[in-house]
Amino acid sequence: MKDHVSMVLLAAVTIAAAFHAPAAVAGDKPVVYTVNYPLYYFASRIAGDNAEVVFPAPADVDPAFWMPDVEQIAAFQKADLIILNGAGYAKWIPKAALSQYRMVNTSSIFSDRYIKTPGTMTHSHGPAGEHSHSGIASTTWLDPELAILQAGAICEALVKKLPDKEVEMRKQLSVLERDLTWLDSEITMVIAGKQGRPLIASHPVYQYLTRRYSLNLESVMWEPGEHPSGEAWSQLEYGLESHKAKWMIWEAEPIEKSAKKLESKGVGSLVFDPCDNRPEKGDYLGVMKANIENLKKAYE
Amino acid sequence: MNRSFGGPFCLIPAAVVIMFLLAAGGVYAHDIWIEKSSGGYVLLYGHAGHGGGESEIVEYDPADVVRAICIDRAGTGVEAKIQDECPLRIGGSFASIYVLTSSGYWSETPFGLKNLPKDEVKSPNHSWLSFESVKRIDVWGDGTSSPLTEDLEITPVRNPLILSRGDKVRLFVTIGGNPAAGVPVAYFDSTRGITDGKGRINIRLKRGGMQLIKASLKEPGDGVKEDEIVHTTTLVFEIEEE
Repeated sequence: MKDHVSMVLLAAVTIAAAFHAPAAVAGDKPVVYTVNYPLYYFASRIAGDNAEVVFPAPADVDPAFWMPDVEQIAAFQKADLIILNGAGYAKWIPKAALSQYRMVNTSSIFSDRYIKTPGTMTHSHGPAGEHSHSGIASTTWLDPELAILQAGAICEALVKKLPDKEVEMRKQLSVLERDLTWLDSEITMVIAGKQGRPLIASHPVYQYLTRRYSLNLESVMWEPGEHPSGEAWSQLEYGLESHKAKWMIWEAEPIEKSAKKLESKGVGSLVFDPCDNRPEKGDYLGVMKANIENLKKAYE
Repeated sequence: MNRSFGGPFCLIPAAVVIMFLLAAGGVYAHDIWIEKSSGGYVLLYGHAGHGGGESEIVEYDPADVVRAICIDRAGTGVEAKIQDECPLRIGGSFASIYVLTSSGYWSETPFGLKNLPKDEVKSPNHSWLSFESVKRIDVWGDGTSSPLTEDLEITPVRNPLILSRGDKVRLFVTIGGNPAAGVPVAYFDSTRGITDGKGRINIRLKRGGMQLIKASLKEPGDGVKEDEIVHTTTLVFEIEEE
């Protein structure tokens, strides 16, 4: 029901946005809107000063489940290019009146490699409210090989908009690809020979990372800022009987109470931030480097 | 296969029956239905536009389709051209179409729901084997007035196609060709009651157009691969709009 109400509201918001759309202001540069931070980072790296790249989601939301307001939808409608993640990310997109000609699904090239996530794990966190992780796993960029393909799709779209900047942008893509390849090789080295070591993820968002590096990872549905219920702890203990993990991977630093209780059960906590949203400090590459350092704890 | 579902159910206190009916609501998380499409029919899964809303289609694997039966008015099987894609397309014109699907084994674990049998997951809480079927009736005749299969199936006692909004449709529910007693039956998402000792139930049609009537039944599983076998079936037919 909540979904239906949301969609009706979104339809109303979209229509209203069409009448209130402010003109995109970026001088003579094309305006490029993105739906998550990794895409923003990739597009910014590739475009450099040749485009104005925008990631409008507030810092405190999960962009995958974020619902833009009238003005934000209007701004998307005015953009010259809308960079999408695909794989079901940003669920408001299919219902909004956005031009098909301006949208680029950066993962459509590997849609045959999408990971289906069966299940009905519906839960609630943040302003987006109740949501489900069933369907298609959407954090595609956590596989650096797929991230490179997404960056390539962004570059192709930018080149169509700015053909006279092709050489420059392809060069910047190459540098980005080199960085992403470096991340890939670093993670590979950290995990090499220890893929079978059991891990638990606090949230089912690491599917592409798991597949890429053959991790032995199982997920629960916990939030870093909330202390899990008694039932959740019981289920974890039951799960640990067969999946003897010594580390739990969190999207963000867990509250002390959860981390301490986990530790008492012989499970350490480490953060691997998927970086959906703009980091408080540094950039995508910095966050991923920190993730790799954190991951080393589990594979020492 | 002979199964009995009669007997003790009539002795169960009303409160328990009500609790069971409430619990049964969860079985109908998604709809499965067949719509007419150009040159044939299309098998859809998702939410069938309850309450006049838009239908929401969920992708499914066409490999989940176990079998499809298409018959004419007399009940004779008719060959159909089936396009193995999502949504599944069935070419032709038939009195009735029946499609059985199975998404296989499901196991609830501390690490979420897995599409695997009990003996292939870590720390299973509960496992089941799922079968979902749908039967659409477009022409009433000898062929459509009796069950087409031995699966869980809903069959109208009389021609439902001539009914109007507000009328009651009398149905009988069978499994293994025998009456299935004590089976919860829902009109769209609303559970309306359970079948009597002869597998019969009356359902009032509260809206015009496409009708979705569902029944669900659980059987004990082998305990190795699954704890339960869950059968869900949907009867689809159309009456006049308002």
